Amino acid sequence: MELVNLHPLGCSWHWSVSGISIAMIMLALILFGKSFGLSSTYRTLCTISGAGKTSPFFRFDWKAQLWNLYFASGIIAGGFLAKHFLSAGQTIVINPETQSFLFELGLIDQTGVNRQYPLLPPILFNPELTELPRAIFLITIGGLLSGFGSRYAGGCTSGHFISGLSNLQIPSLITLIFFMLGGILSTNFLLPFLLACL
Amino acid sequence: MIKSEVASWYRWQEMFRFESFHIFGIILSAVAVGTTGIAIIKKLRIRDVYGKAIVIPDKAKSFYRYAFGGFIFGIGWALAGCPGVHYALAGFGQYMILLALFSAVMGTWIYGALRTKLPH
Repeated sequence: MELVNLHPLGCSWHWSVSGISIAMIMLALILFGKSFGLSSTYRTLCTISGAGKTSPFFRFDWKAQLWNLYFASGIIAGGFLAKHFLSAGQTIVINPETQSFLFELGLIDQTGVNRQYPLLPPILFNPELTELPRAIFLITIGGLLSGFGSRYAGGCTSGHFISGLSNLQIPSLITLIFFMLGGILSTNFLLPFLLACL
Repeated sequence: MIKSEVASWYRWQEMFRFESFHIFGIILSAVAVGTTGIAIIKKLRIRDVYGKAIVIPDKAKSFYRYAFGGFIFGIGWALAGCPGVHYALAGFGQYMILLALFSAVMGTWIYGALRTKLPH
């Protein structure tokens, strides 16, 4: 079935294609008087769900932020398109060191990343019933921390790493150093620890 | 995001183990183009499409919130992904990610509730 890979958009894209596209999106948003940052949508979703009753932090004009939710729906649509129209048996080849690290944790097979699940390890994101509680626990912890931390720091990867750094913001530089420290700790120590305990 | 594998959990793990240039490359190229673009916008005082002057607000000066918040976010990111990726993966049909998205919204809610008690 070599045919499927002939489509130029079907294979994985080079990192620079993605990087430049992301920057173009950010600049386009700036030209429309908006700013690029996706964790803000979580705050908007809180407000829409009635969080204004619990904290003044959520009492703001969420309608002015609706565009960002539309933007997020665009990303959802993009994910859908990638799956149904641009996927051609995409596999991910990762560094052998990472591969053996993840194999030892039981997250991938010895042969590498599962072809069927090129994006997320099935044991966490498509688990058997017996593995479900552990998966739910890990994902919930991860989600809670990322939601809490991004608002505490005033932005996530898009807001600080991309927008902030492009605007030469020192706070963003501080934040991303700590993003990296948190991530390094999490991947190398917390994840193995939690997987061993659960 | 899907096509360049930024949304791949495996790529984040590689990044946090410094065993791949992939995501660093994406970020660096985005920042290179972004910095140039913003510099041009500022230099030429380009107005937005509504004719208003473009003012990109500076991030508030502080240390604690960026250090603590960033650190906590980093831990969560390595486990369950960052916001943009949640949306992309939801579109990709990875429904467990909706749990990550939901708990991240809850995390934001908790932050809002505790906000006045945290050092900023």
